[in-house]
Amino acid sequence: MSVVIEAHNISKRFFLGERNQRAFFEDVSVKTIRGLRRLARRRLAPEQSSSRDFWALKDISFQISQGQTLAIIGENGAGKSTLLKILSRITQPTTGTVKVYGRLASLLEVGTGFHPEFSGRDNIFLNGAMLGLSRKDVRKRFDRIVEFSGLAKFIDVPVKNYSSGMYVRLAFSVAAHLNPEIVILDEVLAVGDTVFQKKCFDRMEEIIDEGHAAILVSHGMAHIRRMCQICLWLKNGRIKMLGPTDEVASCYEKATTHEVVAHYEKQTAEQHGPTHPSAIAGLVQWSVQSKAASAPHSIIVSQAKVTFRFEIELTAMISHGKISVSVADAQGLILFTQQGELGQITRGKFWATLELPFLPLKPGEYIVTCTISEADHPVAFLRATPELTVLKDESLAQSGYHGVLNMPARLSVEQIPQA
Amino acid sequence: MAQTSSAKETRVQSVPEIVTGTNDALPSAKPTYVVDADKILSSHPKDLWAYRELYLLLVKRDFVAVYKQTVLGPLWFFVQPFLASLVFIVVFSQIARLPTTDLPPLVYYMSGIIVWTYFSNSLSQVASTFLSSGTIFRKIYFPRLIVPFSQISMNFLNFIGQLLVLFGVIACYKLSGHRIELSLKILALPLVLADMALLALGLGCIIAAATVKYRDLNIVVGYTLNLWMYGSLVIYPRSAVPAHLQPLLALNPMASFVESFRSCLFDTEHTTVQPAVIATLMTIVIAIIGIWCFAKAEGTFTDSI
Repeated sequence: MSVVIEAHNISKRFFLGERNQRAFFEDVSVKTIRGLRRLARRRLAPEQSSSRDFWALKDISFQISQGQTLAIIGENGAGKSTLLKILSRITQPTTGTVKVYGRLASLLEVGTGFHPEFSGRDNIFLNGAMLGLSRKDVRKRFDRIVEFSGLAKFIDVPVKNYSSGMYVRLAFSVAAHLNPEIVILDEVLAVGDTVFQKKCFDRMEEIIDEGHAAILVSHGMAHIRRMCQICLWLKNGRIKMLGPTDEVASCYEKATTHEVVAHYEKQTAEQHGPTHPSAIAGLVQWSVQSKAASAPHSIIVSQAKVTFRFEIELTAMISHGKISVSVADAQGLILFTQQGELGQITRGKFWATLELPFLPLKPGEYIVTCTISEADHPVAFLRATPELTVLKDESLAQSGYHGVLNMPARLSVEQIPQA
Repeated sequence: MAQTSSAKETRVQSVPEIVTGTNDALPSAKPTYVVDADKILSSHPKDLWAYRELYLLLVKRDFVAVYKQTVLGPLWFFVQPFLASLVFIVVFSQIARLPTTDLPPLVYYMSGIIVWTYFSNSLSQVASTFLSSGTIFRKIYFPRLIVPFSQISMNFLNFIGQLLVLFGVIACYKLSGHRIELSLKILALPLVLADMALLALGLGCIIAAATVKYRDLNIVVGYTLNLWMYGSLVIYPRSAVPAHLQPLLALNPMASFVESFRSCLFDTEHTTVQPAVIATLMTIVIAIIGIWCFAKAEGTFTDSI
């Protein structure tokens, strides 16, 4: 296995602020002074960084070998797109070197370079040529491209008459048939209606399988876990973590969970007036009871019977109280909520117990929250810490976890005898 | 936003060593390409050749796109020099009484106008390469120089069309008994046209590279080209220029190219070899500087436009 992409110490600096007269004179004076010094053969001090500088990437090094797929994850603005642009020769790094071995195709956006006055057919050839295919190559793939797009009827119509959906379908179809050795994919590529989106994802997996190596930028952790062996987590332009996908992805999910919770708490506080809701009630502790529990706050997935117990302390009296417990995934999507009556309850501590016959969640991190409301108006928002961690049940032969749930179902196959 | 969130950055307990796969040594093979902070990002000339089909398609695209939505279509390119020549005849020949050598004013002005249009359109389109193709450049890699080449080629095609119209005009004059001699020097015409293309490419690339930082330039290009025409022997011959202004003409390569263009077509008496050689040398220097500037700008233009 040999290296196909080698990135060494990549940094990228952007200048913020306007190009106005002042910036122009600053530029000219600095450059003139440097030029004169160079003429005088004086040693140059390293270029000074000004307050207008912004480092979008800092000291990024990694390697990808043949057969590997790298995922790049991180929040918006973490530097993912900048990194992809440097890897694909669109922009130059401020420091560092990238070496690429093999024909690389990077699909950062579909449909750029389409000309509205041209027919779909002409645009396939034009776009193909831009992406590095010869006319012969395009002709060879033409039928497959058209078939994939499902636009055979409209292929000789100018693309300005296409609907936006048709437009992106055609564009993705061209991009999907490049057959490069190394491919860089941005997940925003998956476009169109649900059926076509599914087709896109399947094709992306095929591309990754066909090629020697791939880089994938995605927010969908399920895709990343499925398709990539190694994962690069960028945060504020720096490598936060680089390693096997499972490890990095779970750390990333954990971190985003914290952020989602913090955001949610802030939002709730803003919505429900100046009094901090948690002032009315506090979560003293919570515990998870399960036969198979291996650690205090971890539970085994699947059919395990689970009991959550919350010890809550009230600092004010409630007359028409309600309590609800909800479980959300790492992205903050609430998976289920269970409500119970509190009635009239005085100051002091009480227990709330939630029993679940089984917890059909796939392995991962989950946010458990308790909301106490008074006359349907939430007065306390309590987050259970640490988060609920669902682990893999080693005793069950489970091949993969697609989707949100992990149901205790069985799929059997039986051949129908021929008549 | 990225900066503010660093304050509450969550700690990750274990940051594993960089995973590099199972390779032990770097391959000895040459990389397909290298992106380096200290080297110009521009593509190898070999890449330009590899993308020749894109070049042809871009020429076709631009050429077709101009006419697709117009009523008169390609006719426009024939009407334009006619109208401009008529105005010039009235203003410069009838009112200002500028000489036009032995040629009929229509032929004289038209030949100047079509060759100037070829140059000035090429130059202004090359100069705005990064602005007009910016969105594509930001998403797809291909050798950027393809775009200026295709733009100049498209203007060349337009020029050829207009040149045929000029020949038609000359034929009409001949039929009506005028004495216009086409010269054998016409064989040198490709050289003159190539010179102009090179000058448009070089200057255009310099401006294109500078527009990346300073947008103002793009506004300046348009009217500078208009003014430049008055100093480029489009309207009057070299002999009409007073002696004390002659050295200024020597500084303008276009003056020499426009003059050479005419003297290649029609055997005008003065030979213009010496200024043409000087102008060619200037052009080559400008082209080299231009391509270098362009190549340098390729790597950083996405940061500021």
